[in-house]
Amino acid sequence: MMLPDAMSASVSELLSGPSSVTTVGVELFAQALADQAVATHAVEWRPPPSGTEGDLARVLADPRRAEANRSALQRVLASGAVLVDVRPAHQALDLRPGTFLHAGPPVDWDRASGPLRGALVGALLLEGLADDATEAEGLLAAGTLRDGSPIVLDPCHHHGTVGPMAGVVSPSMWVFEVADPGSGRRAFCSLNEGLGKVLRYGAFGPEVVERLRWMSAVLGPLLQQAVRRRASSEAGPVDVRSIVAQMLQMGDEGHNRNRAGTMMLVRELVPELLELGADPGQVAEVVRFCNGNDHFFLNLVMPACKLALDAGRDVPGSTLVVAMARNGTDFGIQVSGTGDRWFTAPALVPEGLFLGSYGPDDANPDIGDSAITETAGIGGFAMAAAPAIVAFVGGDSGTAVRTTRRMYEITLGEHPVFQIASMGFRGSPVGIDVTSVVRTGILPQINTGMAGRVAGTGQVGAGLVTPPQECFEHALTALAAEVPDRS
Amino acid sequence: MNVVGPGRTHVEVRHGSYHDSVTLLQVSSRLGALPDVAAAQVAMATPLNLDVLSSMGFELPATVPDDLLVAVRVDTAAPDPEGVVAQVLTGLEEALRPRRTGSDTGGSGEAAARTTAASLRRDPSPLVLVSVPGAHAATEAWDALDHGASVMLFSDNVSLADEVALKTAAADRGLLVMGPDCGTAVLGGVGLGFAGVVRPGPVSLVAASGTGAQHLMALLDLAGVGVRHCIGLGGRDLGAAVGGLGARSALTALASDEATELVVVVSKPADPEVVSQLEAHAAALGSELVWAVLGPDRPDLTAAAEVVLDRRGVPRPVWRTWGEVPVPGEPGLLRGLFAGGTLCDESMAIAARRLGPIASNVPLDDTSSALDASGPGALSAALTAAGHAVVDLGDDTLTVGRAHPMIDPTLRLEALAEAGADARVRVVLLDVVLGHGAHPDPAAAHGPAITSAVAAAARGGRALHVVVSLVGTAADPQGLSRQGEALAAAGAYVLVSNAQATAVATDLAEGRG
Amino acid sequence: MPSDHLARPSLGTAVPVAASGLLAEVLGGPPVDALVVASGRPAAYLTYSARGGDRVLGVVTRQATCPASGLVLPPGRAPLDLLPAGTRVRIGEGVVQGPTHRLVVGRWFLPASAPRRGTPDPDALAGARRWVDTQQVPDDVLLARCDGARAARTLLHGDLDDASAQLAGLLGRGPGLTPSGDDVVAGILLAARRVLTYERLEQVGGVVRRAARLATTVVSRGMLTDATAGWCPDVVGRALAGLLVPGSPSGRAAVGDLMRVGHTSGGDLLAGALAVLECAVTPQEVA
Repeated sequence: MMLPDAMSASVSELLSGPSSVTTVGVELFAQALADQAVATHAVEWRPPPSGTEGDLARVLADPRRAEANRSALQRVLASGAVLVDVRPAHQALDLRPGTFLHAGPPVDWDRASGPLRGALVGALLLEGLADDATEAEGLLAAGTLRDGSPIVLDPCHHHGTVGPMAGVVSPSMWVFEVADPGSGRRAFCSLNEGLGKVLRYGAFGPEVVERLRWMSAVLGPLLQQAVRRRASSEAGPVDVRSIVAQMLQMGDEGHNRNRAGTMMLVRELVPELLELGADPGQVAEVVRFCNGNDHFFLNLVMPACKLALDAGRDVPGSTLVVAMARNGTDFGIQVSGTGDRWFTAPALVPEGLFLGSYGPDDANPDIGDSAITETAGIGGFAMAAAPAIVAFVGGDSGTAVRTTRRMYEITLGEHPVFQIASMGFRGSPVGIDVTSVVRTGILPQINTGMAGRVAGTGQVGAGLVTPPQECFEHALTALAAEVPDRS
Repeated sequence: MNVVGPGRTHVEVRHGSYHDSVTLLQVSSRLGALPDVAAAQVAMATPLNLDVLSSMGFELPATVPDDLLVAVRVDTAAPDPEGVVAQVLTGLEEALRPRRTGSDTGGSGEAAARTTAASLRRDPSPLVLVSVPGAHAATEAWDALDHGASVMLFSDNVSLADEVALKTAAADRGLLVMGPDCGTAVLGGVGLGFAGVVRPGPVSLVAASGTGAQHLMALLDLAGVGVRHCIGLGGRDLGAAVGGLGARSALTALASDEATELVVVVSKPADPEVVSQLEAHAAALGSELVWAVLGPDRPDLTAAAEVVLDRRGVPRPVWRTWGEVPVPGEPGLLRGLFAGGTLCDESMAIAARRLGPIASNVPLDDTSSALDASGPGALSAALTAAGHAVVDLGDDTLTVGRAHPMIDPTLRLEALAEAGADARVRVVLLDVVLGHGAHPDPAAAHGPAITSAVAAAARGGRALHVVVSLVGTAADPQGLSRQGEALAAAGAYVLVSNAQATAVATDLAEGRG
Repeated sequence: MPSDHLARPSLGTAVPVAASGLLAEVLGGPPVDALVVASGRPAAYLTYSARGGDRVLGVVTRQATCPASGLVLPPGRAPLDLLPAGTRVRIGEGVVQGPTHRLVVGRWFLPASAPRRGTPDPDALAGARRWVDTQQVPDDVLLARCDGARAARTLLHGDLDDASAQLAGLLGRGPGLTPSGDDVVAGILLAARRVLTYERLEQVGGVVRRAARLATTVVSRGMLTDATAGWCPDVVGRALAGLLVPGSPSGRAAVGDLMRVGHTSGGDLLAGALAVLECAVTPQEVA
């Protein structure tokens, strides 16, 4: 004889006459409940894109999904991030000459956008592999160095690294090294060059290369000593995640506005720099450089986010997005349940404000690994924490709050550490769920800079953008194919 | 705006404006009834709806399925065509203005949730009523189960595999999945879907048939026996494929409900293996079960209600009627025009015993003359048949692109007029179902059509009888007596028992006295 | 044959309500006059005459404790706005017709009742006892609870007439819309359904109902009338079930919910119920 199964408490509540009912579909039935003095919560349902309903039903029915998502998100939220070192990329990432990392999903020279091409040209010049831009372009187009050895282009994401905008990392560039104290896992990111004519926006003029040389010769080594000194001190390494949490309370959203975060980082490092016994002139140059660049801390926010999301990778059945990245041509996402596969579609052009006389026609499609911040629940997702950001699109503080609220519709949880003061210290929306994006058509909101379309231009503006919906539909199809057949 | 022709046709596309099909069908029919409007259709631009609109002669712009299409044709004789279009558009704005049906919006300035999951995260509730189109229904149902809520799946066209997976998962989590294709449920007095207002009492139903359960509850209520719960199952639950998963959970839930003293299982003939497993389960739970299994050669719903009354020691009442008892005269044909599937089956089974084969769009296997076609073709074939016919106007194939006849009586009114004009027809049998969700005043909707059908027959020198089985309770918003009296005043003979109504109609068809 | 709402008068705005099945007779019948005797944001109380004398009907919001003979309003409606104190209304034909609104029954619900089965759970009783004993209450409330405990012992082990007299003596004592003594008595009567025979319950109930006509408030009279028939608000029913089902976590939560009702009302009612159930668990059933 079978034992009577136990019913849940919610069924007892149901049988005492439900005090509220959620309705999805025909409005008439919500009205019929209201006529019985029952509270109704009506879902504002709309059909998903036609053709996705079968995959959605299949993925939603995956018995692994709920637990896989809980576990993947838990790992993401549990990941810490501290600044442990600053090193040249050839050391930290074992980059060989001729290897160049770039932002976004894989792309070759033929399909590379203007700003990525410009940054690669600049990197060849920096590395002394070409004498001028024309030669550099020729080598890149041919795919070989002067000595015939191959030029390798590879996404940053494949090396535990993230790069803003073009995201080009070459062997002699210095990188931040951020670690999760719990697991010891590492993530890397280049040092931020500042705004205007800079390599990451595709500029490669003499002043760009000269600045990069100074960064490798002075900035990198001094930061290395200061960071190592701090890491071995009683205070321990600088806690990047804690600064991110604080900057959200100070008007930053951690992607397009990093002013408070930068100030807090400088505050942490100045005493160490002063005690190095280095040339005071050089120390002053370093402090002035960091202090004068409102985005200096972005290059620490990004690897902290990368570290967290990498922890959520490779959970079978999970629909959690673990990377959103753009190479200026394609937008690509990676999903926990589908390993290292990229799901790509042509990147969109951001909308926003332009510098000087630049206009929309000058802007390149979306580029950079910096959307890792939105993937981790800050940036555009925490827009309500940074009302000043909405000036980019002519909105008001209501726009910022509405944007953040909308993101809760497509995320799996709320961040316990990253909180939004203006929303009653509610945790920021974190953990993009592929199925929710496809079902609602609500796309992740990304705050971003805009690079010039033509190689060598540099930054032309900043604004807002979303991924193309197709990325999520492709990912959904792949997730559906991974669902085990029902026995 | 895209005006084709001299102001007589107006077609408009609206992006990003989704409304469910029932709402749009109601709106379309309301707009179509405005003065000087020849046709008005408001519909989502699905391939099906595009076909319908093209067949109505509208020229359509390019659309995607998420677009809302508004198509209006003004009467050629209208004095002010532009004014008519403007009036239709004003009416449309009014009808589609966002409404909050007594619901909380969940805090200041928050937009409505777009998925069931998001809604439940914000406002937890123990039950989700899913009535989205079938292909999307399982997705929303999973959201509910994932958030610890039970589900009523009103939607049909949900796959068998999804039904089994949902019900299995629900059983594991101690939750209920009612449906798919579950039209009725009553939980602690709260009616869901199409549900009558029944008095509280000791009897609970576990029902694989929506209108069957509604009829049984109405009869029990009229006899003074109240209903505690009606847990819906959907039509397939008691078949071998689903194996009574829903019924098993329902029985478990009811066993822990102190106020339930007797459980009635309402279904069409079920898989014998499933029945014996459920019997064993009920016995282990110590529950008292009464089976009301419907079908040819089975007791009808009225008989089942009387069995329940006997069990409760409540005297069987004289079932209520309104109007003059019709006197049989010349024999003639029976036309049953039903909105409720189970009521239709019951009437066919009863009538077939005396009248022989009965044509239908939903024939019973062994008693009716099966027609080859299904859908509208089968309907018109049945209604022009040489013999007796009983049709289900609520059949899935007839409700595509049209609201259920319990909400929108248009299709039935047309069939009623046809029957009135058909000299061979002696008696029309209708079911009228009251309760929440149903038409707000079915007597007002059907009354004039009944009167004019009877009058048309009289002009042709013959008697036409209209017999109505009226399913409802005193507390239904439409008012049982009010409806009964209004229908009787329109010329119908009204009974609360469908079996008795069918018997009367059969008498009239046979011409016995 | 129940009559239904022929020619419902359409006066004022319709407000759908959920109605207790105990009100089916008055609400389904021909209209009778009623008076709004108290009205506030969470609840209003109406009196009307019916078989057996004055009756009380409560109209409450979803957040308030609904009496067993009550109507529940939909979200966003307050009794105060619909039924001002002192107004005359009519009840019947499926509606409560007020001056500006009519409350239309949209559904019926079965109110909770005191369980007649179940074994008192010693752990649950001890937990509830701790809650009751540590609640800060005025002296007159404490005194009413002590006298209640004595009355409960008499009811279970002593003379029935003595018990009835002791219970009647508690009515009207202490503060509140339902005075503490009344809540204690209601708790005793409800818990006693688990222990006493139907005849003895009826006899005691009759005495309490008659005494309540003179001794206490209108609202309290309604509560006691329902309690003598075993009906109670949902929160009370769940708490009693919690005391009688061993190890039920939802039951424990329900006892906590009851403690939070009113100023001391929930605690008073629980004190009455415990007095009965502790007697039942100690000398007779456990031994």
